Amino acid sequence: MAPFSTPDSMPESKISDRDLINRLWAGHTEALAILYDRYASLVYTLALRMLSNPAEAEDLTQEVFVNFWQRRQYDPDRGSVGSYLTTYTRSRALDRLRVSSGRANILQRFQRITAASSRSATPFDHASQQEDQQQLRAALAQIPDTERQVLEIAYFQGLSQSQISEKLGIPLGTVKSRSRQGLLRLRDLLRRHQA
Amino acid sequence: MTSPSLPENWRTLLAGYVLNDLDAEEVALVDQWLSQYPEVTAELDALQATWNRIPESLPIEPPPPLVRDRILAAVTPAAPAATTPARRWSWGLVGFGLGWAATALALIVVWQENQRLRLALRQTEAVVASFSQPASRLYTLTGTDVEPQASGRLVIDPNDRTALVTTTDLPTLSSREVYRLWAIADGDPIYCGEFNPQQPQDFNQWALPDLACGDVDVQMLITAERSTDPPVPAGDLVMEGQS
Repeated sequence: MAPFSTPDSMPESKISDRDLINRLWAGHTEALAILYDRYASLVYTLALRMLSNPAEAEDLTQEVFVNFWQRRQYDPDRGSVGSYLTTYTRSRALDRLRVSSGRANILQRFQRITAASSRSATPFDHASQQEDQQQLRAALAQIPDTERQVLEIAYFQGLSQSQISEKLGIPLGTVKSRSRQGLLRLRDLLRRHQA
Repeated sequence: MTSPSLPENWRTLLAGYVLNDLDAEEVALVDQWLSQYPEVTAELDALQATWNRIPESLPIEPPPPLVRDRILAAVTPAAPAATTPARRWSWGLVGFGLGWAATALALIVVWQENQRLRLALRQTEAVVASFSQPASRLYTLTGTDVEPQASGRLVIDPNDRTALVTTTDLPTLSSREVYRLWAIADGDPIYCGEFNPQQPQDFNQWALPDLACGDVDVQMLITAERSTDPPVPAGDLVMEGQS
């Protein structure tokens, strides 16, 4: 295998995700190490939150990155690496949790979901990643607790709205309106932050 | 600017679309908007991106360093298992003259035999260690028409997530090629790692890249591939596994 080198000794932090993907697809598996350093915490954090088991979260993190390299289903033109990895991690975590009622829908929606946020991350994006996370946390803190609660259950536990209704003991219509309103509110708050 | 044809609650329906809580009629309506109104597509993408960002709100928890090592080991071809310092020894001994030549030759033969036995012992120990795991799966490998002389054993340890392969008379490939191990489940090949034996009798062990490689009802196959090719079987089938 050809040695992995960066043009003009470019520091790793300045290589864009797209360049890393191109190198990885060209057989430079070392590029996966840099992508791992950028996204492993995000993947592991999500896996740990959903599976509540460090060993399983480690296992899923390994599965996500090895499959990312092996299957080459990620298309840089269709979304960011971070978005793809979190969507894939969530999907696989839900599979492990055997959320049977949501499974078919989740798989069906996988392609559509990864098509969103169709911009590939640049090094600048990584530098501002922490700031983005703070904005997101601030935005989530601003939406009503009841709306945040249904969104988090839907996302991290993969429960359907009727299951959430049953779990919380509230009408299905209320779950529906809270989750939709919560998502719209979150989107508007983030847009305001970005403006 | 929003099209006047869109109803007042169009964004609410888009949120429902992302959350997957619309009925079939509503989904059809949104799909129709998506084909007609660019602002609907843009808003849907923004809502989907917002939904995708929810995990970023979690306090970051870095994985243990071991995970990184395991992943890089899984995607890096196995290093040659044996060393061959015999040449250094033999060159040194040749200089001792004819009188020593026979002794040197004998020493080399003994040393090589020793190496062979040590390798066989390491191989046996590794296989025994794998056998001692109750969940381990053993496969007998036989060469196909491409390498009919080749034979070997494969031990998959699903608990340790490792594969151990011992091969006899499987030729060493060039540095640009590797043998790849596949688990075939429901006709779908799953990449299970790669290796390149460095001598007629050799063994290689590595971390499995996919849990499914340890499943019970899979067929194990080995192909010869270019190392830079994508992990999809395209080269010659050289060995088949029988459990």
